[in-house]
Amino acid sequence: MVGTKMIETLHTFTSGDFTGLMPEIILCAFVLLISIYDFMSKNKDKEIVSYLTQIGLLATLISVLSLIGDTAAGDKAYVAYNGMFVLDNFAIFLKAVVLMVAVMTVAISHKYNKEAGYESGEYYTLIMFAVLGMMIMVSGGDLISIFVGLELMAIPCYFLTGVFKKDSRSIEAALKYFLMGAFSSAVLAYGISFVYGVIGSTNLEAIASFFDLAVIAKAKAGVGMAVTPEIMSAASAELATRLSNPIFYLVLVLFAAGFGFKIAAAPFHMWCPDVYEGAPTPITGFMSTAVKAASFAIFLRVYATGLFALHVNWAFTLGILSALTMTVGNFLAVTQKSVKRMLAYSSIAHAGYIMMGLVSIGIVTFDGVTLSINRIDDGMASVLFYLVTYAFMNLGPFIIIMMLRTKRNSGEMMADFHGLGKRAPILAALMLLFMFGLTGLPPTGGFIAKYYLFYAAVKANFTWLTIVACVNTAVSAFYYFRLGMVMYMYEPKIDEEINASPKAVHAVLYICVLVTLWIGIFPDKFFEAAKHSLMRLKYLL
Amino acid sequence: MHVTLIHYLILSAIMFGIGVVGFITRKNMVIVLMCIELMLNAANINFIAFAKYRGLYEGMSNQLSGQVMSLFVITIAAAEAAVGLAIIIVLFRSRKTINVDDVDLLKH
Repeated sequence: MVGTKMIETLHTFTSGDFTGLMPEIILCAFVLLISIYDFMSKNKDKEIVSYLTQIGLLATLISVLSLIGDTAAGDKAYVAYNGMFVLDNFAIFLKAVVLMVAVMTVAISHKYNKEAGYESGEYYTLIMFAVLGMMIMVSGGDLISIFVGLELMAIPCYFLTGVFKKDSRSIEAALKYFLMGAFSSAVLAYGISFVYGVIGSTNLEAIASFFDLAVIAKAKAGVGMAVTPEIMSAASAELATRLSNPIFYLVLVLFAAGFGFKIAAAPFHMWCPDVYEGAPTPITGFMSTAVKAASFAIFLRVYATGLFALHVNWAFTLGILSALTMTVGNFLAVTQKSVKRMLAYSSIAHAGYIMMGLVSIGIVTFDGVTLSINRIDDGMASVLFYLVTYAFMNLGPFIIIMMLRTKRNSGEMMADFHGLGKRAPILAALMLLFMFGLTGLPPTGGFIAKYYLFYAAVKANFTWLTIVACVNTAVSAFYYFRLGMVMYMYEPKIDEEINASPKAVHAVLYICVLVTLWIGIFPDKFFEAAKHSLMRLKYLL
Repeated sequence: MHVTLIHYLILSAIMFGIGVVGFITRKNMVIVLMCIELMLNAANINFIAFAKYRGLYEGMSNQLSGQVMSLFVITIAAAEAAVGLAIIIVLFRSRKTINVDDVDLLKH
């Protein structure tokens, strides 16, 4: 009996199952070909591998963008493999962001690694594998595929952190990242097991319909029968018991811990400064932008679809975590002597701001009879908007840190920035611009992004959180502007000439600047795109 | 004694607890790695137990996904163990120690 049922639910493949996966397939083919090429070639210089990787990532980006107008991905999202893989506009949006960041990371890496004496082909294939993981993760319609994608992203990142394998700081960062990452995955897996235990499925649609009154009533009435008022009230009672199931509190705690580690939310942020400081600078930039965007994306997808009905239970807790995260991040950033470490704390603080958008995705009330979900679309869109803005304005400072590295100085310390206005006026001006963006001042995108987040939080009755965020922004202005003061009002401490950087690094830096300014001056298109992609979020309640 | 779902859940909770406590208190990196494996296997026991009992008692058609998930978790645990051991070896080469407390070059 059980056996036949199993066979009935098995899915057979059709050619349609592969159309939406084309970007992933292309990227996978490129990874395999590039790693084979890397093993075969005798060339110690990995410049060609770097170019090939960029071509592969760009080809994937083009194939992702070509899916936008597709009817399969437009109004009706494309779903394959029993709901494991979902290609909606939300996924396309994030895939595009992640791929752009990855291309830029690869473009700036080659010379940096060569000068450090750690040229390797694996570096590039690992980045591609991490991107593949992110792409699968943001398309995950099922907790299984989300978990597998998350690991496919995380495991290459452990290696990438420790890729400078004779540099003890790099290894130490890799170790810490690995221990914390593996711990959080185990916590997440344990949480998923309880979701599966209570609901009987790991599919996000099934989880959402578990809390759907109409579905419960239909199941109670039986096939083809009308839903009578008695059945309706029985269904309401059933929904009330489901909503107050204590297992879900455990699940929410485990999920908050599991996802919280990935996005470096306090109190799970301890690994973040050490890892960001020890990792090679391009990888730090990559982790603080692409990895963070992808992790927030699944956070949003899981909480805005499957677990939206439990919003009352998780919103307040996450709100407190958000306030804690931004406070811890900003106050610890003030005392840092290393700019890289300061940016790590600043990235913790920004995770707190983004969580503010996450808690204000809607207002859910259960009056004992029906569950009413009032979505706040601006709240969700503000998360995406912040992620894309943050990706560009946070990559920029890391590129400048990279460019400041000389033979004797790392470029990471505050001392390297002393009098930068005299040593390198353009770099100093751009750094100041990025600091403006991170503080949230016009005309940069940071201002608009923060504005939308605050606006959404007020709309969702999280006014206290908005006040905390405003105070935090004032604190953050202190350390961001101190860097500006150090650059312009102090005398240079270092007399070494700044090395000329390759054209690619300059190009990437200017792209970051342009996008940050562009989003700041013409935000409407970007915000519409973010909102549009969320309206098409599959299984959105 | 008849073994029911709750027994499996208690077993997995104990395993998970041992894993968490060990992860926090133990200093030897290899043991820390083993504690992570314990935690992942606790999740596996949960998945398999839920898959079996949901399938048996409720006639759910979806009991496969628990078993599938456990297979994925096993694979991921193997990959993580490989990565972890590789990092530990590299660390031992450079520091001659695998004690977590001695790894404090990056300031706290």
